[in-house]
Amino acid sequence: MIRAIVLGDKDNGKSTLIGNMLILTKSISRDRLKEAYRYSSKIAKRQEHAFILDSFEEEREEGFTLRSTEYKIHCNNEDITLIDVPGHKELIENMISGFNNVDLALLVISAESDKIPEQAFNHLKIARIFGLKDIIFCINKLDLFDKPERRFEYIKNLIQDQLNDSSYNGLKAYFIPISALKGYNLVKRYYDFGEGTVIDKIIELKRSRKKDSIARFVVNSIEKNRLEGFLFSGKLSKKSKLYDPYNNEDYAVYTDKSYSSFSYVKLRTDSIIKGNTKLLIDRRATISKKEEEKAEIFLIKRAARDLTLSLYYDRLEASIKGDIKIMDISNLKISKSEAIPVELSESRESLSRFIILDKDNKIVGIGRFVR
Amino acid sequence: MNLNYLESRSFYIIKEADKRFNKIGVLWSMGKDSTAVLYLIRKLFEGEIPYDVINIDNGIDFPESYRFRDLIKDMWNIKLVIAKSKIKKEISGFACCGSNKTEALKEILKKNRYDALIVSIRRDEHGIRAKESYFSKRDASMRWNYKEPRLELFGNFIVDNLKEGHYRVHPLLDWSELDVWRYIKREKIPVNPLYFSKDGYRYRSLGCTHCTVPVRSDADSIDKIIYELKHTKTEERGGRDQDKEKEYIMQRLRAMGYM
Repeated sequence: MIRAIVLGDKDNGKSTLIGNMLILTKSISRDRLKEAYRYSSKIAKRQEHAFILDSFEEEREEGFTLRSTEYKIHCNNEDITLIDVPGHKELIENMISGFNNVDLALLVISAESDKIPEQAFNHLKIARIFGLKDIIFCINKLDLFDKPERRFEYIKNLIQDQLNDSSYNGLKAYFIPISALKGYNLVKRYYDFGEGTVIDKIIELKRSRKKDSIARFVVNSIEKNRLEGFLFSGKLSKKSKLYDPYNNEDYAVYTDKSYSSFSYVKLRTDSIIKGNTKLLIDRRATISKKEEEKAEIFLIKRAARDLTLSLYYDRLEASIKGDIKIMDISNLKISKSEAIPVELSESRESLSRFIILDKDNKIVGIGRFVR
Repeated sequence: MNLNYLESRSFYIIKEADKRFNKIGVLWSMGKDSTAVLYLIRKLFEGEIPYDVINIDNGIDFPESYRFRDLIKDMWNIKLVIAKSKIKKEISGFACCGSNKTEALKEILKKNRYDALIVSIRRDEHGIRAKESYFSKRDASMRWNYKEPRLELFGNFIVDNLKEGHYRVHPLLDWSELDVWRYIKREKIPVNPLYFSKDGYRYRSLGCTHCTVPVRSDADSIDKIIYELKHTKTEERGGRDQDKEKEYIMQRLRAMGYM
């Protein structure tokens, strides 16, 4: 199983790409397709693959995605989930909400414009905060060009120039020429240049993916020495050792069988555990309990300096120190109001990331703690 | 999809709801999805269903469904809350579901003060349901403000303190119709007999007697249903009154508080 988020500016073809992938891999029923086409022929005067996903009246009438959604495709014996997000700048909170346990990103860029839209780079920066390393750039709408290879190389160079910026350190970029509308290079190869098809690249990256082996158990409930919670990463065998960073204690933990990541687990510890514990983690993880932590954040709007950070496993009142940039990555310090332990890690599986909320519980940004 | 993964995911969603809400009700239509959810809750809480199980009863469900309801109620020791809805003769289809089911639900929500309802919708049922979130807020009039971003990154569900209204909790959102049947087979979950073929027809999706029609099928066992679903090209809800699945009616129904 692999989860891929489809990013990019509005009207660059994200929903069309997913819609056509659903059709080409036969992952959508005939009835659903008929329903989508009936409306698109009426409204858009053509068969619009995006209408499979864009189901709200306003999405279809106005031709944009309002709310993120996800669809599963099954191809070459692999389950792939594709996540569609809105591309409009005004809907960036909705876009962020699509980053749910994502493995890699597709970034759809229309070859029509001579300039790469700023929004594509905002999405890229957000993906980086979420720990995504592999980005498949889908250079779209190449069916509109007489010399698609030349256009592809031109757009690819424009992107590569910008990727040299330090904001994108560590990203691995792959370039695929496509036409989302015509289905070129989505599932079957059409262009003989570029790096194969979208589906092959996703599967290749999935198979070569390395996960870190740190066990991270997020506690849901505690009763004396019996705990329930979610194993976000790593493995638990029938007997494992885990560390409670809240109280600085080590425990032997027992389960009825072994579990792998993304399992709901009931476990028992060798002695009674304190009720304030929200996290049990492998001793090898880098945990910090300092009053002030270094962080990388991406704010989507102006906000007060006192904010709430919603971590995977806890909530933290904090204040931000340093220069804050809006719609960009800021490196700064965060002072914590309580001694809540945080993980410092680059890894995609780590619990170092957080959502930043204002007083009204609205998303104002995202971030991660760094070493 | 991997059933262990889906089961774990559902457990997590139910437990997160359990931690956050004061009074939870589970909507049970007696169909396969909501019965599977009851089973999941029972498995998670080791044989107990700690919530009220709400059945909206319009009095015109199939006799088989009522027999199935009694069977499950006794077998699983369910705290069953029946919300009676009245069928008005003059309305049908969209208006019928909109006014009857939704009204009955509104009343029971108010009376029993639930702050969360577990509802067994799945993304693959409908384009509008595909846009849902695991925790989804409803205002006092049960309206869904779908323009509001969903806040459930990292599986970390951010919940507002509601003065009024409630949350819908969707533990089955990531499951497909086929996943549900595979799980029913694996866990030997009892299901309504109407799903199995009789005289060449079976019900693939169950509503009330007024707007559900059976589909042509010879699938008289779970294995045959699973085989059929792997090869079908039609929609699960195709046997529902066309009216409800047409145009933006699902959107309007859901905006009104429909499941």
